[in-house]
Amino acid sequence: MAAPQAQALPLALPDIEALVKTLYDPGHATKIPQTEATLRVLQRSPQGWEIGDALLNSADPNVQFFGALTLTVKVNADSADLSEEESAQLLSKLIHHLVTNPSSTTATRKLCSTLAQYFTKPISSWVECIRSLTLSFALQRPVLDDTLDSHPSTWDVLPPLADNHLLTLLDFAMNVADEAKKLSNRPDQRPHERLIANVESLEVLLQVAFGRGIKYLSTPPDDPNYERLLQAGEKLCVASFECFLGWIFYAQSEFKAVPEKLRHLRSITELSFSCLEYHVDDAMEHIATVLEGYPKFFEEKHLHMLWDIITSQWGLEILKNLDAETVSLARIIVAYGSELVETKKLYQEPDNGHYQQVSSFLHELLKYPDPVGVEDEVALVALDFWSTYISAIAEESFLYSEGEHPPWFVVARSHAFQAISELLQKIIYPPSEVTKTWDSDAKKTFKVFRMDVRDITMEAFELLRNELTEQFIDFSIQALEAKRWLELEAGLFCLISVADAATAVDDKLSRLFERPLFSTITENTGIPAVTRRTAVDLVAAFNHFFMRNPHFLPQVLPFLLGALAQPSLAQGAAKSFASLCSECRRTLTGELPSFFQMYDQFITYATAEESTKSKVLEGIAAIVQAESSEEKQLAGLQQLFQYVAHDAMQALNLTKDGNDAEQGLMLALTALKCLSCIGKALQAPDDGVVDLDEVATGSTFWTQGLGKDIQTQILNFITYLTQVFPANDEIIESACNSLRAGFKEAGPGPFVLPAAAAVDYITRTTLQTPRLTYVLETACCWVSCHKGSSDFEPQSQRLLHYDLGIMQALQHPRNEPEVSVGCIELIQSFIKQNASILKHEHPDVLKGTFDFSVECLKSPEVLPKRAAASLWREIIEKTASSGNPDQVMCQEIVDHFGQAVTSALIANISGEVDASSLEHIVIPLRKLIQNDRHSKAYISSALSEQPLLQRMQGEQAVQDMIRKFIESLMRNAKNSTAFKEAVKTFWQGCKQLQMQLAPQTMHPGHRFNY
Amino acid sequence: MSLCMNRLSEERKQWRRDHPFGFFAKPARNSAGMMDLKKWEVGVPGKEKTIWEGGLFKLEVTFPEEYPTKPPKCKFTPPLFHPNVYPSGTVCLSILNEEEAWKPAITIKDILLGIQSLLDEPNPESPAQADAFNLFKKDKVAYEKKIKAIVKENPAP
Repeated sequence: MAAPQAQALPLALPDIEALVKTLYDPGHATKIPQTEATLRVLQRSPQGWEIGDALLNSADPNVQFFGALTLTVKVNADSADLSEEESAQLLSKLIHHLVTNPSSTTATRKLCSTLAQYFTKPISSWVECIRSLTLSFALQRPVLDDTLDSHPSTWDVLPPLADNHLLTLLDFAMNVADEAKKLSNRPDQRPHERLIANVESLEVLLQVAFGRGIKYLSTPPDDPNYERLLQAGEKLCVASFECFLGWIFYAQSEFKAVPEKLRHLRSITELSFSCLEYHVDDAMEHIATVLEGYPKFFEEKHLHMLWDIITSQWGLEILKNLDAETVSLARIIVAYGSELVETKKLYQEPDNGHYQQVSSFLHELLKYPDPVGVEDEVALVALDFWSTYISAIAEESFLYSEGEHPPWFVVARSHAFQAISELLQKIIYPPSEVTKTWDSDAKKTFKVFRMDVRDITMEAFELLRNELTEQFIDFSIQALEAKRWLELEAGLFCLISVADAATAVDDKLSRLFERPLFSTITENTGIPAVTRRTAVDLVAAFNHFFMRNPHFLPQVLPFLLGALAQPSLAQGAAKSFASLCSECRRTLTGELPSFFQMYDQFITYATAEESTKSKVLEGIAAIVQAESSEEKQLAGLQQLFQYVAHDAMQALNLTKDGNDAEQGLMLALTALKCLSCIGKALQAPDDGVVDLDEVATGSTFWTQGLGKDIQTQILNFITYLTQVFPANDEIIESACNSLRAGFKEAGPGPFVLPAAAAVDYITRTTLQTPRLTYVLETACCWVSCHKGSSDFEPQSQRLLHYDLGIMQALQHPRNEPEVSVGCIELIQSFIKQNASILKHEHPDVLKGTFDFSVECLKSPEVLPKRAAASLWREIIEKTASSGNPDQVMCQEIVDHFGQAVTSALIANISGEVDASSLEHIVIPLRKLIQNDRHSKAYISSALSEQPLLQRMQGEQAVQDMIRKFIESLMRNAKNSTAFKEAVKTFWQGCKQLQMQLAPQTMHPGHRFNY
Repeated sequence: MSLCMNRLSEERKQWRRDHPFGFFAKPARNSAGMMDLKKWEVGVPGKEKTIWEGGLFKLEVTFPEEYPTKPPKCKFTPPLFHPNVYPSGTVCLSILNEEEAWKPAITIKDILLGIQSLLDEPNPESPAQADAFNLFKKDKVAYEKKIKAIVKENPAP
């Protein structure tokens, strides 16, 4: 046959057949990979065509299938090599096998798909494939395009064909549409032109197949062949529908140029709808798929016909019993409704009876009493519709200003309101007897549904505003009064979803919170955990309401403290407690004694651990901060520090005796975390009244007076605990946070420690200290916050020496790139705040520092590079600020290091830097050109030293590139964009040179960037 | 409507129609309660079966006038302890970089899924903050503990 040249087969046919059989023969599992490999080679060999053909002649169905498979492989891989004649021969052979194969087997199905794939190949010139196959079946021999005209019409040939032949034709027709659809977006239109020419024949095929299927399905039950015909009818209708579906979606993408041809498919619609009443498998799903994906396929009359079926006895029955069919029908109804939303008819014509009926069906879909998920899947489908509906109305409402809405708007709004009420019912948790039978999927489905409802509610709020909020408030109040706790939960859940958006609703909310909502939940242990959790979330969501209305807090805060007992609520409750106390601190000072009492109770719970304790203490400390006198604050702090001291002492004891080092560490962490949180809470609030007198006179209560003891304790906690646990990163972080708590305070306070305190701690750390990066960040904060301190200069010197010590210990930035960043940033802080402190340093020390920064610029590590670039920007900028006491110092630095820095910057720009760091390197260079008259000389000299450019010295083009670069740098220094562009162009040029010269020697640090 | 606004309103529709579980994304409201389509508030949950599971991290996404030609800026609020998040909170991710992998076809959903993946798969090639990167490199156990504490402070609802 189609084999280009007759060559000897690599193996005798019977041997190949035997090999194929072993593939399907049990007991040869170990040999399978080897056999498969051999067969693959045979399939791809030039003789593959012949082998496939020969195997199809076998009587063994497995061997036949393998033959068909072989031809598929060949068609896909090697058909381009066939001549026109070979191609025609191949087609003839394939049809021959298909029509002579006795029944529908896996081999015939495979052949159908092989033929379909053949049809779409460029080598194929087959046009009227459906008519050609029909005639071939009728005559039991291949009939190709050239002789079709001499035969009777398809209308005459098709009806007598056997069921099996019809099924094979449908299978082929479906396959060929699917295969051709895969070719969309390809420029070659010929396969589509050939396929579209078949649509009339396809129409005949579908008419005949559907017609026969439905005729079988309507066989009266007393017919002796009833069962058999029913099965045959189902089979024909299923296959017809699948084929129809394939062509509808093929038409959607490829009939754009020939819309008139759609009528050949649309004429089948009515027949396909008849399948619904016979409950043909997947018929509802298929119709829903078309309505969802290609709603315009159906014409107005078809849509009406479909709606009549939905509202017929058949449809009503399905809707009555909630089962799998109801879900499918719901999909149709939802798609039907969505299309009407898309065309705006559903809401813009509220007086139309049909649309009213559609809307009412869509509401009904939300009213099944069964829980969403396993029992009620319809709600999941209906939710989609209402989401579309509400979004559409919300979108439309933006087009009109308040009071100018069209008349339909009122009705549309009321549908949205009704839908939300229905959804509210659906998100009520079923009783625990039901939920405890749910598996994780069922739980997730319900949870996702609730999240979706929350999203829709937020959307609906745009339309319904506080009408909706009030509805949730009323619903919650009723549930509370009737003690229906799960309903209460749903009401609160919805209320939370509008919390962010609802404004001017305080009076309405007060109606709810005036009731003993929180105390009831606290006292009644029988209330479900989920209601309790939602109530905790409610407090967080309405934080601002309670801040505006602090008179509710005496009810809310004890509720939160009570909720701390429950592990699942503790974190959220502690967080809300801290933030409410912090915001409303002034109104709460009277509550302090009772909060301390409740805290004593709380620390007996298992939930009292680092994060909850620190949050609750943070809350209480905020109230202490609001006390009216330093003495009262001291009393509160003493009480707070007892808790910290207790944990700290225990930590030391447990660790000292080696009893339980792990528990010791945990308590130490807790103590320091609590300390830092108390420190944070004691910061004066942003809106707080700063007592200028106090600031001016600088009360010494905390540094020298009665409060001094507190400061001593703070330092002791930090010193002892960091000494005992020097290797723990969290201890270091909390110690730093405790020290930082007072940095930014304008006036004196318990955490506003002497300037030396933080410096004492910082200078004790070494390269071995974990989170040294955070310690260095703390040092930077210290520098920026203590400039006004009388002790600033001597303490700064200490920090500077410490920084130099770290850099010396590092030797080179590559040893600890991130620590190097911290060192450089600290130097930058000094430059920023008080560069003059450097003038007392020995020139060698300064050389060490700035050489280190130049090394950072040269290093391939991005962070040190960027930090050093930023440092040099700062220094160079300061050289321009005449009158600034730091100017002279910075100018001296630039005079000394200008050439070295320029060389490092230019080395980067000459191809060394990665793309993302380039923009950082550009800035100091531009500043240098703007501010330093030597810059051009520096740059020229730096360029002449670049090894890459030196190697290309003889190239005129490179010399031109360098010259142009220098010129455009100088010319564009005032224009940031043009300057960047000039640098980038040169950098790209250098990159290309690097590639040309030695791609293998590219810097390893850059290998991932290109 | 400008190209930018058109695209954003389409993105908003798409997101409402279909978004991954646990994420949220909505245009922010200004002080007058009006919606600002060019500034979104979004939430990215930690991936299941990673140390980030159970957390929900909030970001501010700001779209430039040139969007979608130029990418939006994504910034964790408050800044997140993560090797690829700048101290300011800005996310360093190739698909958000105009000069790297940004393409106008990238949707908000793609971005947020990209950020979610980044959480547990930091890119050591483009560090953005020294502190987190250093802990990540030097002490994985301490790093993981720190992340778990952050998750606890930012729980998913």
